[in-house]
Amino acid sequence: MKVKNKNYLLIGFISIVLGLIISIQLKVVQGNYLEGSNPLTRSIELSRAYETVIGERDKLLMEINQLQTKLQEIENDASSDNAMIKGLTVDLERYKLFGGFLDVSGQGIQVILDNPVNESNTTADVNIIYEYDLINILINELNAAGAEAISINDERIISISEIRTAGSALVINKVPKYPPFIIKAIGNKDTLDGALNQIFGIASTLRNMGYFVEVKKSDNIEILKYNGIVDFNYAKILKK
Amino acid sequence: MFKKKPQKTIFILLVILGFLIVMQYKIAQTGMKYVSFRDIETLTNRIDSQNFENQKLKDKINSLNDQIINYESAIEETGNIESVLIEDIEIYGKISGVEALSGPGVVIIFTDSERQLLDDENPNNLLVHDLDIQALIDDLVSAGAEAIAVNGQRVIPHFTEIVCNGPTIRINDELYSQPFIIEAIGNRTYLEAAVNAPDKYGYILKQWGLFLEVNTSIYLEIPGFEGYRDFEYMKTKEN
Repeated sequence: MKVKNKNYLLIGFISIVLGLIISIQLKVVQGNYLEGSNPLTRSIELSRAYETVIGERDKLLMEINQLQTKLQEIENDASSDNAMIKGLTVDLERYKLFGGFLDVSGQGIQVILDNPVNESNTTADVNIIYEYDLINILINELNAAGAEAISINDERIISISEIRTAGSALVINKVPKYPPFIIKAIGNKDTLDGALNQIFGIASTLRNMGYFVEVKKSDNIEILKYNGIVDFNYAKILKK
Repeated sequence: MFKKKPQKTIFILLVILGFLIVMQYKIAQTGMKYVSFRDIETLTNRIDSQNFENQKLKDKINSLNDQIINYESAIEETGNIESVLIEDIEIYGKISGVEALSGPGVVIIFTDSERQLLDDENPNNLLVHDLDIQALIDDLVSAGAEAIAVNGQRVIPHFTEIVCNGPTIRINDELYSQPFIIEAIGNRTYLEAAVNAPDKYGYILKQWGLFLEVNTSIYLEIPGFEGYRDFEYMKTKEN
Protein backbone atom coordinates (compact mmCIF):
# COMPACT_ATOMS: atom_id res chain seq x y z
CA MET A 1 0.00 0.00 0.00
CA LYS A 2 2.80 2.33 0.91
CA VAL A 3 4.67 1.65 -2.32
CA LYS A 4 1.54 2.29 -4.33
CA ASN A 5 1.02 5.69 -2.67
CA LYS A 6 4.56 6.69 -3.52
CA ASN A 7 4.01 5.78 -7.16
CA TYR A 8 0.88 7.87 -7.31
CA LEU A 9 2.76 10.83 -5.84
CA LEU A 10 5.49 10.45 -8.42
CA ILE A 11 3.07 10.19 -11.31
CA GLY A 12 1.16 13.17 -9.97
CA PHE A 13 4.35 15.20 -9.80
CA ILE A 14 5.41 14.24 -13.32
CA SER A 15 1.94 15.12 -14.59
CA ILE A 16 2.21 18.58 -13.08
CA VAL A 17 5.58 19.11 -14.78
CA LEU A 18 4.19 17.82 -18.07
CA GLY A 19 1.20 20.15 -17.78
CA LEU A 20 3.48 23.11 -17.15
CA ILE A 21 5.65 22.26 -20.16
CA ILE A 22 2.63 21.86 -22.43
CA SER A 23 1.16 25.17 -21.31
CA ILE A 24 4.50 26.95 -21.81
CA GLN A 25 4.75 25.49 -25.29
CA LEU A 26 1.22 26.59 -26.12
CA LYS A 27 1.86 30.08 -24.79
CA VAL A 28 5.09 30.48 -26.73
CA VAL A 29 3.46 29.36 -29.96
CA GLN A 30 0.46 31.58 -29.37
CA GLY A 31 2.57 34.60 -28.48
CA ASN A 32 5.12 34.31 -31.26
CA TYR A 33 3.16 33.04 -34.23
CA LEU A 34 -0.57 32.89 -33.77
CA GLU A 35 -1.55 35.88 -31.63
CA GLY A 36 -4.74 34.38 -30.31
CA SER A 37 -6.13 32.36 -33.20
CA ASN A 38 -5.54 28.91 -34.68
CA PRO A 39 -2.93 28.30 -37.39
CA LEU A 40 -5.45 28.20 -40.22
CA THR A 41 -7.21 31.47 -39.44
CA ARG A 42 -3.91 33.12 -38.64
CA SER A 43 -2.41 32.14 -41.98
CA ILE A 44 -5.51 33.38 -43.83
CA GLU A 45 -5.29 36.65 -41.89
CA LEU A 46 -1.62 36.99 -42.75
CA SER A 47 -2.17 36.24 -46.44
CA ARG A 48 -4.79 38.98 -46.57
CA ALA A 49 -2.51 41.40 -44.75
CA TYR A 50 0.28 40.53 -47.18
CA GLU A 51 -1.96 41.17 -50.15
CA THR A 52 -2.90 44.52 -48.64
CA VAL A 53 0.69 45.67 -48.21
CA ILE A 54 1.60 44.46 -51.69
CA GLY A 55 -1.39 46.35 -53.09
CA GLU A 56 -0.31 49.42 -51.17
CA ARG A 57 3.20 49.09 -52.57
CA ASP A 58 1.90 48.83 -56.14
CA LYS A 59 -0.20 51.96 -55.64
CA LEU A 60 2.73 53.88 -54.17
CA LEU A 61 5.03 52.77 -57.00
CA MET A 62 2.43 53.88 -59.53
CA GLU A 63 2.15 57.26 -57.84
CA ILE A 64 5.94 57.64 -57.84
CA ASN A 65 6.05 56.79 -61.54
CA GLN A 66 3.33 59.33 -62.30
CA LEU A 67 5.14 62.05 -60.36
CA GLN A 68 8.39 61.24 -62.11
CA THR A 69 6.78 61.39 -65.55
CA LYS A 70 5.33 64.74 -64.58
CA LEU A 71 8.79 65.97 -63.58
CA GLN A 72 10.15 64.60 -66.83
CA GLU A 73 7.50 66.49 -68.78
CA ILE A 74 8.33 69.74 -67.03
CA GLU A 75 12.00 69.18 -67.87
CA ASN A 76 11.25 68.33 -71.48
CA ASP A 77 9.01 71.37 -71.92
CA ALA A 78 11.69 73.62 -70.51
CA SER A 79 14.54 72.08 -72.51
CA SER A 80 12.79 72.01 -75.87
CA ASP A 81 13.57 75.65 -76.48
CA ASN A 82 16.76 76.06 -74.49
CA ALA A 83 20.02 74.28 -75.36
CA MET A 84 21.62 75.09 -72.00
CA ILE A 85 18.83 73.43 -70.06
CA LYS A 86 18.96 70.47 -72.42
CA GLY A 87 22.64 70.04 -71.54
CA LEU A 88 21.87 70.22 -67.86
CA THR A 89 19.12 67.61 -68.16
CA VAL A 90 21.50 65.24 -69.91
CA ASP A 91 24.04 65.74 -67.12
CA LEU A 92 21.40 65.07 -64.49
CA GLU A 93 20.36 61.84 -66.23
CA ARG A 94 23.96 60.66 -66.30
CA TYR A 95 24.39 61.26 -62.58
CA LYS A 96 21.10 59.53 -61.85
CA LEU A 97 22.12 56.55 -63.97
CA PHE A 98 25.48 56.33 -62.25
CA GLY A 99 24.05 56.71 -58.75
CA GLY A 100 21.34 54.08 -59.17
CA PHE A 101 18.31 56.34 -59.42
CA LEU A 102 16.96 54.94 -62.70
CA ASP A 103 15.46 51.58 -63.66
CA VAL A 104 17.93 49.73 -65.86
CA SER A 105 18.11 46.50 -67.84
CA GLY A 106 20.76 44.56 -69.68
CA GLN A 107 22.63 41.27 -69.72
CA GLY A 108 23.88 39.93 -66.42
CA ILE A 109 23.40 37.27 -63.78
CA GLN A 110 20.93 36.37 -61.08
CA VAL A 111 22.13 34.69 -57.89
CA ILE A 112 19.72 32.93 -55.56
CA LEU A 113 20.98 32.51 -52.01
CA ASP A 114 19.01 30.49 -49.51
CA ASN A 115 19.30 28.53 -46.32
CA PRO A 116 20.16 24.82 -46.56
CA VAL A 117 17.39 22.92 -48.34
CA ASN A 118 17.25 20.19 -45.73
CA GLU A 119 15.29 21.84 -42.93
CA SER A 120 16.81 19.81 -40.14
CA ASN A 121 20.15 21.45 -40.83
CA THR A 122 18.83 24.97 -40.29
CA THR A 123 19.78 25.64 -36.73
CA ALA A 124 20.27 29.06 -35.24
CA ASP A 125 23.92 28.95 -36.28
CA VAL A 126 23.51 27.94 -39.91
CA ASN A 127 21.49 30.81 -41.30
CA ILE A 128 22.33 32.90 -44.33
CA ILE A 129 21.21 36.03 -42.44
CA TYR A 130 24.29 35.83 -40.24
CA GLU A 131 26.66 35.67 -43.23
CA TYR A 132 26.45 39.36 -44.09
CA ASP A 133 30.22 39.51 -44.39
CA LEU A 134 30.14 36.82 -47.09
CA ILE A 135 27.37 38.66 -48.92
CA ASN A 136 29.53 41.79 -48.77
CA ILE A 137 32.40 39.80 -50.26
CA LEU A 138 30.06 38.56 -52.99
CA ILE A 139 29.13 42.16 -53.86
CA ASN A 140 32.84 43.02 -53.88
CA GLU A 141 33.52 40.15 -56.31
CA LEU A 142 30.72 41.37 -58.57
CA ASN A 143 32.23 44.87 -58.54
CA ALA A 144 35.65 43.41 -59.32
CA ALA A 145 34.09 41.64 -62.31
CA GLY A 146 32.74 44.94 -63.59
CA ALA A 147 29.12 44.91 -62.46
CA GLU A 148 27.31 48.10 -63.48
CA ALA A 149 24.24 47.75 -61.27
CA ILE A 150 23.48 45.44 -58.34
CA SER A 151 20.36 44.80 -56.30
CA ILE A 152 19.44 42.41 -53.49
CA ASN A 153 15.75 41.52 -53.24
CA ASP A 154 14.94 44.59 -55.35
CA GLU A 155 16.89 46.88 -53.03
CA ARG A 156 19.38 48.75 -55.22
CA ILE A 157 22.96 49.00 -53.96
CA ILE A 158 23.91 52.70 -54.01
CA SER A 159 26.80 54.80 -52.73
CA ILE A 160 25.87 54.46 -49.06
CA SER A 161 24.19 51.04 -49.01
CA GLU A 162 24.90 49.02 -45.91
CA ILE A 163 24.45 45.26 -45.62
CA ARG A 164 24.31 44.02 -42.06
CA THR A 165 22.53 41.61 -39.77
CA ALA A 166 19.96 43.02 -37.36
CA GLY A 167 17.96 40.55 -35.31
CA SER A 168 16.65 37.88 -37.65
CA ALA A 169 16.85 39.99 -40.79
CA LEU A 170 19.43 41.26 -43.23
CA VAL A 171 19.13 45.04 -43.37
CA ILE A 172 19.86 46.66 -46.73
CA ASN A 173 19.27 50.40 -47.16
CA LYS A 174 17.55 50.29 -43.73
CA VAL A 175 14.89 47.82 -45.02
CA PRO A 176 14.84 44.37 -43.36
CA LYS A 177 15.07 41.55 -45.91
CA TYR A 178 14.56 37.83 -45.42
CA PRO A 179 15.79 34.78 -47.36
CA PRO A 180 15.75 33.67 -50.08
CA PHE A 181 17.96 36.48 -51.33
CA ILE A 182 17.86 37.19 -55.05
CA ILE A 183 20.94 39.15 -56.09
CA LYS A 184 20.86 40.65 -59.57
CA ALA A 185 23.81 42.20 -61.35
CA ILE A 186 24.16 43.77 -64.79
CA GLY A 187 27.46 43.45 -66.63
CA ASN A 188 29.25 40.98 -68.89
CA LYS A 189 27.36 37.80 -67.96
CA ASP A 190 30.24 35.42 -68.61
CA THR A 191 32.71 37.48 -66.57
CA LEU A 192 30.28 37.84 -63.67
CA ASP A 193 29.38 34.15 -63.72
CA GLY A 194 33.04 33.14 -63.91
CA ALA A 195 34.02 35.43 -61.04
CA LEU A 196 31.49 33.82 -58.70
CA ASN A 197 31.89 30.21 -59.83
CA GLN A 198 35.67 30.23 -59.77
CA ILE A 199 37.14 27.26 -57.94
CA PHE A 200 37.39 28.15 -54.21
CA GLY A 201 35.44 31.28 -55.13
CA ILE A 202 32.64 32.79 -53.10
CA ALA A 203 29.94 30.48 -54.49
CA SER A 204 31.83 27.35 -53.55
CA THR A 205 32.64 28.82 -50.12
CA LEU A 206 28.94 29.34 -49.46
CA ARG A 207 28.05 25.91 -50.85
CA ASN A 208 30.62 24.23 -48.62
CA MET A 209 28.93 25.84 -45.64
CA GLY A 210 25.71 24.16 -46.73
CA TYR A 211 23.86 27.09 -48.28
CA PHE A 212 21.89 26.90 -51.48
CA VAL A 213 23.56 28.95 -54.22
CA GLU A 214 22.34 29.16 -57.79
CA VAL A 215 23.91 31.41 -60.42
CA LYS A 216 21.96 31.97 -63.60
CA LYS A 217 23.11 33.91 -66.66
CA SER A 218 20.49 35.95 -68.43
CA ASP A 219 20.27 38.30 -71.40
CA ASN A 220 17.64 40.44 -69.80
CA ILE A 221 18.11 41.36 -66.16
CA GLU A 222 15.95 44.20 -64.88
CA ILE A 223 17.09 46.17 -61.87
CA LEU A 224 14.85 48.68 -60.15
CA LYS A 225 15.96 52.16 -59.14
CA TYR A 226 16.59 53.17 -55.55
CA ASN A 227 13.27 54.35 -54.20
CA GLY A 228 14.20 56.36 -51.18
CA ILE A 229 15.65 59.62 -50.03
CA VAL A 230 19.36 60.02 -49.40
CA ASP A 231 20.05 62.63 -46.76
CA PHE A 232 23.59 63.70 -46.00
CA ASN A 233 23.89 65.36 -42.60
CA TYR A 234 27.66 65.70 -42.38
CA ALA A 235 29.19 65.76 -45.85
CA LYS A 236 29.20 68.93 -47.93
CA ILE A 237 30.34 69.43 -51.49
CA LEU A 238 33.94 70.57 -51.62
CA LYS A 239 34.06 73.88 -53.46
CA LYS A 240 37.16 74.30 -55.55
CA MET B 1 -11.95 -1.39 -14.90
CA PHE B 2 -11.43 -1.74 -18.64
CA LYS B 3 -12.05 -5.46 -18.48
CA LYS B 4 -15.41 -5.00 -16.82
CA LYS B 5 -16.86 -2.39 -19.17
CA PRO B 6 -15.17 -2.37 -22.57
CA GLN B 7 -18.28 -0.86 -24.15
CA LYS B 8 -17.83 2.39 -22.23
CA THR B 9 -14.21 2.79 -23.39
CA ILE B 10 -15.09 2.00 -26.98
CA PHE B 11 -17.95 4.50 -26.79
CA ILE B 12 -15.64 7.28 -25.65
CA LEU B 13 -13.07 6.46 -28.31
CA LEU B 14 -15.73 6.46 -31.02
CA VAL B 15 -16.97 9.88 -29.87
CA ILE B 16 -13.42 11.24 -30.19
CA LEU B 17 -13.08 9.63 -33.63
CA GLY B 18 -16.32 11.30 -34.66
CA PHE B 19 -14.99 14.70 -33.62
CA LEU B 20 -11.77 14.11 -35.51
CA ILE B 21 -13.61 13.16 -38.71
CA VAL B 22 -15.82 16.24 -38.48
CA MET B 23 -12.79 18.47 -37.94
CA GLN B 24 -10.93 16.91 -40.84
CA TYR B 25 -13.98 17.38 -43.07
CA LYS B 26 -14.33 21.02 -42.08
CA ILE B 27 -10.67 21.75 -42.76
CA ALA B 28 -10.84 19.98 -46.11
CA GLN B 29 -13.91 22.07 -47.03
CA THR B 30 -12.07 25.37 -46.56
CA GLY B 31 -9.61 24.16 -49.17
CA MET B 32 -6.61 24.79 -46.97
CA LYS B 33 -3.81 22.43 -46.13
CA TYR B 34 -1.88 22.07 -42.94
CA VAL B 35 0.00 25.31 -42.24
CA SER B 36 3.42 25.00 -40.67
CA PHE B 37 4.77 27.59 -38.29
CA ARG B 38 7.64 28.14 -40.70
CA ASP B 39 5.18 29.37 -43.34
CA ILE B 40 3.49 31.65 -40.85
CA GLU B 41 6.86 33.07 -39.85
CA THR B 42 7.86 33.66 -43.47
CA LEU B 43 4.63 35.53 -44.12
CA THR B 44 5.03 37.65 -41.00
CA ASN B 45 8.57 38.52 -42.06
CA ARG B 46 7.50 39.49 -45.56
CA ILE B 47 4.75 41.77 -44.28
CA ASP B 48 7.19 43.34 -41.87
CA SER B 49 9.73 43.99 -44.63
CA GLN B 50 7.10 45.34 -47.01
CA ASN B 51 5.80 47.78 -44.40
CA PHE B 52 9.28 49.26 -44.04
CA GLU B 53 9.56 49.63 -47.79
CA ASN B 54 6.12 51.23 -48.09
CA GLN B 55 7.11 53.82 -45.51
CA LYS B 56 10.15 54.67 -47.60
CA LEU B 57 8.02 54.95 -50.73
CA LYS B 58 5.68 57.38 -48.96
CA ASP B 59 8.65 59.56 -47.98
CA LYS B 60 9.82 59.44 -51.58
CA ILE B 61 6.39 60.59 -52.83
CA ASN B 62 6.52 63.54 -50.45
CA SER B 63 9.97 64.54 -51.70
CA LEU B 64 8.84 64.23 -55.33
CA ASN B 65 5.86 66.46 -54.63
CA ASP B 66 8.21 69.03 -53.10
CA GLN B 67 10.40 68.82 -56.16
CA ILE B 68 7.47 69.43 -58.52
CA ILE B 69 6.50 72.47 -56.48
CA ASN B 70 10.11 73.67 -56.72
CA TYR B 71 10.08 73.28 -60.50
CA GLU B 72 6.77 75.05 -60.89
CA SER B 73 7.72 77.97 -58.67
CA ALA B 74 11.03 78.30 -60.52
CA ILE B 75 9.17 78.48 -63.84
CA GLU B 76 6.81 81.10 -62.42
CA GLU B 77 9.60 83.23 -61.03
CA THR B 78 12.34 83.05 -63.66
CA GLY B 79 10.63 81.45 -66.61
CA ASN B 80 12.95 78.44 -66.72
CA ILE B 81 14.20 75.67 -64.48
CA GLU B 82 17.91 76.28 -64.79
CA SER B 83 18.51 77.03 -61.11
CA VAL B 84 16.57 73.95 -59.96
CA LEU B 85 18.41 71.73 -62.41
CA ILE B 86 21.80 72.96 -61.24
CA GLU B 87 20.75 72.29 -57.66
CA ASP B 88 19.54 68.79 -58.62
CA ILE B 89 22.78 68.01 -60.39
CA GLU B 90 24.66 68.96 -57.24
CA ILE B 91 22.46 66.75 -55.08
CA TYR B 92 22.73 63.73 -57.38
CA GLY B 93 26.47 64.25 -57.83
CA LYS B 94 26.78 64.24 -54.06
CA ILE B 95 24.71 61.14 -53.34
CA SER B 96 26.03 59.13 -56.26
CA GLY B 97 29.62 59.58 -55.15
CA VAL B 98 30.93 61.65 -58.06
CA GLU B 99 31.55 64.91 -56.19
CA ALA B 100 34.40 65.56 -53.76
CA LEU B 101 33.03 66.03 -50.24
CA SER B 102 34.17 67.58 -46.99
CA GLY B 103 32.98 67.25 -43.42
CA PRO B 104 33.74 65.85 -39.97
CA GLY B 105 34.77 62.23 -39.58
CA VAL B 106 37.50 59.77 -38.65
CA VAL B 107 40.93 58.90 -39.99
CA ILE B 108 42.11 55.31 -39.54
CA ILE B 109 45.76 54.35 -39.93
CA PHE B 110 46.17 50.66 -40.60
CA THR B 111 49.45 48.78 -41.18
CA ASP B 112 51.05 45.38 -40.71
CA SER B 113 51.98 44.23 -37.24
CA GLU B 114 55.48 44.85 -35.88
CA ARG B 115 55.46 42.02 -33.38
CA GLN B 116 57.69 38.95 -33.80
CA LEU B 117 56.25 35.77 -35.23
CA LEU B 118 55.44 33.10 -32.67
CA ASP B 119 56.82 29.60 -33.25
CA ASP B 120 55.36 28.08 -36.41
CA GLU B 121 53.01 31.02 -36.82
CA ASN B 122 51.69 31.83 -40.27
CA PRO B 123 53.12 35.21 -41.40
CA ASN B 124 49.70 35.97 -42.89
CA ASN B 125 48.48 36.62 -39.34
CA LEU B 126 50.55 39.81 -39.23
CA LEU B 127 49.68 41.21 -42.66
CA VAL B 128 46.92 43.52 -43.83
CA HIS B 129 44.60 41.72 -46.27
CA ASP B 130 42.00 42.97 -48.70
CA LEU B 131 39.31 41.29 -46.60
CA ASP B 132 40.40 43.23 -43.50
CA ILE B 133 39.98 46.56 -45.26
CA GLN B 134 36.72 45.38 -46.80
CA ALA B 135 35.34 44.43 -43.38
CA LEU B 136 36.46 47.72 -41.78
CA ILE B 137 34.69 49.62 -44.55
CA ASP B 138 31.53 47.52 -44.12
CA ASP B 139 31.48 48.46 -40.44
CA LEU B 140 31.93 52.15 -41.31
CA VAL B 141 29.12 52.08 -43.89
CA SER B 142 26.81 50.37 -41.39
CA ALA B 143 27.64 53.13 -38.91
CA GLY B 144 26.34 55.70 -41.40
CA ALA B 145 29.50 56.90 -43.13
CA GLU B 146 28.55 59.26 -45.96
CA ALA B 147 31.84 59.14 -47.86
CA ILE B 148 34.83 56.83 -47.51
CA ALA B 149 38.29 56.92 -49.07
CA VAL B 150 41.28 54.58 -48.80
CA ASN B 151 44.64 56.26 -49.47
CA GLY B 152 42.81 59.06 -51.24
CA GLN B 153 40.76 56.74 -53.46
CA ARG B 154 37.00 57.06 -53.05
CA VAL B 155 35.22 53.85 -52.06
CA ILE B 156 31.55 53.47 -53.05
CA PRO B 157 29.67 50.21 -52.42
CA HIS B 158 28.06 50.04 -55.85
CA PHE B 159 31.24 50.22 -57.93
CA THR B 160 34.41 49.87 -55.90
CA GLU B 161 36.27 46.60 -55.66
CA ILE B 162 38.91 45.97 -53.02
CA VAL B 163 41.03 43.09 -54.23
CA CYS B 164 44.27 41.46 -53.15
CA ASN B 165 47.01 42.00 -55.72
CA GLY B 166 50.17 40.34 -54.40
CA PRO B 167 51.87 42.74 -51.98
CA THR B 168 49.45 45.51 -52.93
CA ILE B 169 45.71 46.01 -52.87
CA ARG B 170 43.71 47.10 -55.90
CA ILE B 171 41.01 49.71 -55.36
CA ASN B 172 39.15 51.13 -58.38
CA ASP B 173 41.88 49.70 -60.66
CA GLU B 174 44.61 51.60 -58.78
CA LEU B 175 47.27 49.84 -56.71
CA TYR B 176 47.97 50.77 -53.10
CA SER B 177 50.38 49.41 -50.53
CA GLN B 178 50.52 49.91 -46.81
CA PRO B 179 50.20 51.99 -44.70
CA PHE B 180 46.51 52.23 -45.46
CA ILE B 181 44.81 55.44 -44.45
CA ILE B 182 41.05 55.15 -44.37
CA GLU B 183 39.06 58.38 -44.13
CA ALA B 184 35.32 58.49 -43.51
CA ILE B 185 32.88 61.39 -43.21
CA GLY B 186 29.96 60.99 -40.82
CA ASN B 187 29.05 61.11 -37.16
CA ARG B 188 32.43 60.95 -35.42
CA THR B 189 31.19 59.09 -32.33
CA TYR B 190 29.43 56.40 -34.34
CA LEU B 191 32.32 55.93 -36.74
CA GLU B 192 34.88 55.68 -33.95
CA ALA B 193 32.71 53.12 -32.17
CA ALA B 194 32.31 51.16 -35.41
CA VAL B 195 36.03 50.43 -35.28
CA ASN B 196 36.87 50.38 -31.59
CA ALA B 197 33.85 48.75 -29.97
CA PRO B 198 34.45 45.19 -28.72
CA ASP B 199 33.33 42.56 -31.23
CA LYS B 200 33.76 44.96 -34.15
CA TYR B 201 36.24 43.90 -36.80
CA GLY B 202 38.72 46.65 -36.00
CA TYR B 203 38.86 45.57 -32.36
CA ILE B 204 39.53 41.97 -33.41
CA LEU B 205 42.33 43.09 -35.76
CA LYS B 206 43.97 44.95 -32.89
CA GLN B 207 43.81 41.78 -30.80
CA TRP B 208 45.72 40.01 -33.57
CA GLY B 209 48.47 42.57 -33.17
CA LEU B 210 47.94 44.64 -36.31
CA PHE B 211 48.56 48.35 -36.02
CA LEU B 212 45.27 50.22 -36.13
CA GLU B 213 44.76 53.78 -34.94
CA VAL B 214 41.55 55.81 -35.09
CA ASN B 215 41.58 59.61 -34.86
CA THR B 216 38.58 61.88 -35.14
CA SER B 217 38.80 65.03 -37.19
CA ILE B 218 36.47 67.99 -37.57
CA TYR B 219 37.39 68.53 -41.21
CA LEU B 220 38.20 65.94 -43.85
CA GLU B 221 38.36 66.20 -47.61
CA ILE B 222 37.40 63.15 -49.64
CA PRO B 223 37.79 63.11 -53.43
CA GLY B 224 35.02 62.10 -55.81
CA PHE B 225 34.88 58.76 -57.59
CA GLU B 226 37.09 59.03 -60.65
CA GLY B 227 36.34 55.80 -62.47
CA TYR B 228 33.19 57.37 -63.88
CA ARG B 229 32.58 55.74 -67.21
CA ASP B 230 30.02 55.08 -69.84
CA PHE B 231 28.12 51.89 -69.35
CA GLU B 232 28.51 49.05 -71.79
CA TYR B 233 25.76 46.70 -70.70
CA MET B 234 23.31 48.78 -68.71
CA LYS B 235 20.45 50.56 -70.46
CA THR B 236 17.75 52.73 -68.96
CA LYS B 237 14.30 51.31 -69.21
CA GLU B 238 11.87 53.40 -71.22
CA ASN B 239 8.68 54.00 -69.30
